[in-house]
Amino acid sequence: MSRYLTALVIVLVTAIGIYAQDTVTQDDVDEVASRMYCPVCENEPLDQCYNPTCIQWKREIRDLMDQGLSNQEILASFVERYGEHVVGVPQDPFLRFLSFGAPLIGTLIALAIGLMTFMRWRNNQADVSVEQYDEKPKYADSYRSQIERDLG
Amino acid sequence: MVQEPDFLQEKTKREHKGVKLTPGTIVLIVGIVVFISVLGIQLFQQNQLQPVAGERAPNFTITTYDGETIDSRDLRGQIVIVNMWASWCGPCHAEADDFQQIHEDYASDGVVLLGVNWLDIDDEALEFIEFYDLTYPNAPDIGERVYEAFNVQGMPETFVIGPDGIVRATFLGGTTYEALSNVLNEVLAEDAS
Amino acid sequence: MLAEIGLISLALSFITCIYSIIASVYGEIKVSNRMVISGRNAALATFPLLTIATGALLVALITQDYQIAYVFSVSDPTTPMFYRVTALWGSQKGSLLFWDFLMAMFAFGAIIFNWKSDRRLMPYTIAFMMASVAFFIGITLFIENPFARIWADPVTGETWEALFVPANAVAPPEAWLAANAQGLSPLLRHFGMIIHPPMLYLGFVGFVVPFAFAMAALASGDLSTNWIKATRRWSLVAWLFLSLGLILGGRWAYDVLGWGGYWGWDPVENAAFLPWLVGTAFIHSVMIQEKRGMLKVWNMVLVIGTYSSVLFGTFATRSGVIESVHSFARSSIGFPMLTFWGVITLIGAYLIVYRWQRGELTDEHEFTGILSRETLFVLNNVIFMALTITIFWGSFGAPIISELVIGQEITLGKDYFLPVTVPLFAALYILMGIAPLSAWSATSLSRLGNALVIPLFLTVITVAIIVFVMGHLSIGALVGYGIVIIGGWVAIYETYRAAEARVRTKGEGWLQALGKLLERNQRRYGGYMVHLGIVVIGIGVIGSTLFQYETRRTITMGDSVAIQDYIIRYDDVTVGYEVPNPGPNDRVLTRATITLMNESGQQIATINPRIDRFPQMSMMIAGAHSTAERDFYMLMDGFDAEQNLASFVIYINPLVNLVWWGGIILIIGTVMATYPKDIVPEHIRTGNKPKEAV
Repeated sequence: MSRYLTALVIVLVTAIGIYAQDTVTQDDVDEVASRMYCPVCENEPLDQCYNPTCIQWKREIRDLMDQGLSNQEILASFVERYGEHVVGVPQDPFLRFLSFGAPLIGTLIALAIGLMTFMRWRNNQADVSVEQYDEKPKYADSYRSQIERDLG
Repeated sequence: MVQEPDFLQEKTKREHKGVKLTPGTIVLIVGIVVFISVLGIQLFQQNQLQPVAGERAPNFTITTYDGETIDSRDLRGQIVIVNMWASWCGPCHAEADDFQQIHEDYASDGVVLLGVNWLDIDDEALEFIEFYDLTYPNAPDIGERVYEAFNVQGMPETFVIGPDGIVRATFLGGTTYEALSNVLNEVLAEDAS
Repeated sequence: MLAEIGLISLALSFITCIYSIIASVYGEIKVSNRMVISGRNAALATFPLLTIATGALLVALITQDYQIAYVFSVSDPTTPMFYRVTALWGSQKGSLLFWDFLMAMFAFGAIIFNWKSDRRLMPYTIAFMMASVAFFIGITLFIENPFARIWADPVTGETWEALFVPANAVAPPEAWLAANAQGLSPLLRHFGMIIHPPMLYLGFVGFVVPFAFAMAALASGDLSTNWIKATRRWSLVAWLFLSLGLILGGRWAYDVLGWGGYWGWDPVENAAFLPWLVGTAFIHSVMIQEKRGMLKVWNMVLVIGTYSSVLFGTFATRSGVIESVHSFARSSIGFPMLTFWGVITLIGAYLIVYRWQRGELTDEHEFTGILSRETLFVLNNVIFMALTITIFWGSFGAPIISELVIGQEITLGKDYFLPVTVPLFAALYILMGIAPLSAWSATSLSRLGNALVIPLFLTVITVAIIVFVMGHLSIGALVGYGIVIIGGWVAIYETYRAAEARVRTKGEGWLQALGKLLERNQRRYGGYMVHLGIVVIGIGVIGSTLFQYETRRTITMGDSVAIQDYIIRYDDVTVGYEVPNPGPNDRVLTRATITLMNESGQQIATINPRIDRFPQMSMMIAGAHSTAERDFYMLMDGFDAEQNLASFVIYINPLVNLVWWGGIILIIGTVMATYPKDIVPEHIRTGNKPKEAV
């Protein structure tokens, strides 16, 4: 047991072990790791994380790269084993659709509300011009330039 | 620009106090209430703790490193120990030999010991199992489902579940042969009577 | 003794709050001036009482009164005096008390400054402000009380925490307390972290004033521009602190967290950003109502939404509903906070709908052309709203819904936030360029086009210069810089045109003309300055995001490695305690010496990335060489003494310093816009009676 723990401590002290490699560079590993999240400390990107699980995972990423898996395949394999929350954007098509679809709908709703505000102005303006025909038109050029001046 | 707010008038105009329930208003109010409820449920779930003695253990299905699929419901009638561990956790190393000993001593009494690995790369987990010669079934926690079901908060945690599916003891952090066997003897005695 | 003083004044402040709510509302409804005044006086008493309570805790921290559990948990005898003081907001309980204190301070200020000028709105304003203060004092007092003390059983020596002296208990021996006290988390020992929470808190709690005035307007029915005039400066002050808090938070992350960036789209960061977005929309949109009597419903929604998002952010950060690197430990204040947030939001929504249905929030001027300043402001609101929804969804909505409904936890990171927010931010920058040039009511395209010619020309030149200096050549960069920069030139050019007109017609000097402009229209020219700051931040963000270079290298001592235009040589590493006679909480520094050289091998600088190892944790502190165009930022993330190896993470962050400089410009601009010429209320200066007497 003590041998095992000594080995463990060395891993903790130095993260170098992850990268003692030639074919796959450290930057290649980070490329994938930056798109993943530490499973233990929520919301900490994997590439910036140094706890034992993260170090293991980065070593695994390197091994999988060595085996010739593409970045996408590596992400997919982690998701399959540990769940969707280990990546920065869900891999599952439905969850992905949910994630990106809702803000789009939200933006459209916001636009619709803005448009409603605008249409209300236009509609009310039409009413006003009929009912209060004899009033001085509010949009006369002189009036407008006066406002401009007042507002400095 | 001085505008007179109609304070006093307002008091005489109380007849149409309150909001007319137009569809838009209903959607707005219901929306806010649903929103708050969702957050409330989420908060409630986040604050859930591990099941303790007397509470029902959650059900789960795992597939061991040897490829055997175990459904906790099939184990009803037997005493089940669920041990969550990870290869990097010190207390997990400290208790591993004790667990193996428990398995050897109590398997004949119908006690099922399950090791559930949390978040390790399979190679690391297998190395751990091999190092301590663990012969009881060990399984990876795919998608952290067991972890979530038991509301586990750290490594290691151990749950002793009675034949009726009720938790008999919960160990947060490392445990020992002695502590485990005390609980098991108690449950076995109770079971026999 | 200190604990008793603190506890009693905290309890009294809770009582004065509750009393002032009841007295104000009762006085308002029964038209009893005496009750209203009595309610005001009680509200005014809250702040001094909280000052005493906060002061008691502060004195306890300074005098090392470890029997108080809070002091015990955030400091120890080796903690330096500076961190002793700042430990006041270092943990949940103390920071809640500090929050109460700041909120009461804003309420106090609002009552003092606005009592005469806004006498009519005041009773309800006080009621709403005090309701907020009372809620927060309530959770401090009843749930997270910082004045709980540690007691010991004289026989068994067992210790526990209790608010009052338990039966048969004694205070534990002082030596035991001092020896067992826990220090402040090392992560928090940084200037940015010390100053960033108070700034954020000031920004957060400051929005209680505009919120309360708006609610008072809705509740009382005085829906004229009175509430807007009363709150305009308060909103800007709150916004100033919130902006400062966000910028300082970014700077702290950049210096201390060791990941080469300043914004990680973490849920807690986003929770602080949401009120900023809604608040920014509000301070723009409200100008339309002031000048044109339009967008009344929008403004109510935005001002209540700002405070609602403050409460939501506080709830999200402090309750443990989401997990995050920042979050406070799980605590029992979650449900009370959720309830309070829900109640406030529902009351706000109810009042808006009520007044709306009575036709009291109808816009006054109706005509607008499609291309008018009003329309552009509506569009501005729409985009801010969309951004808020998008960021909220990514940080809270999607993860929570997915976990609850589908049972699948998800995390949304920069792969989500960048694609969805960048187009919206781009649209905001474009609006920032066009809106100041547009006219009220209607603008013609050709007029707008004419006004844009010179700023556009200047923008093209600036982009060309940046691209030439930095060597960034990509379509994305050209378009991005262009979109961001146009607003800055518009701001500068508009200011120039106005000043030039004064110089020409009034014969003033340039400086005098600029001064007069600012004096005549503080908000406009202060606002332009803020726009300029936002532009500079934008340039920095594009440069440091799009063109950040990141690499990880393992280097043998003595070796040189080429990295982009630089050569670095790993010279040495030292390991040792920071101080000669280390105590248990002192850090061990592992400090590397790196020589940074240019391509031809000339030395530029020596930098020292280091690892600070504390008993419970380690921190990687970057070594950086910072110039106007870029930061060379280097972390050591591991080293092996036997093989003389060390591994480094190297970031080259182009233009990142513009983010901080832009922040400074933004702050100056906000101060220019807010600076109170009339800190003495108008009626006192001019000798006119306040409005209530009219």
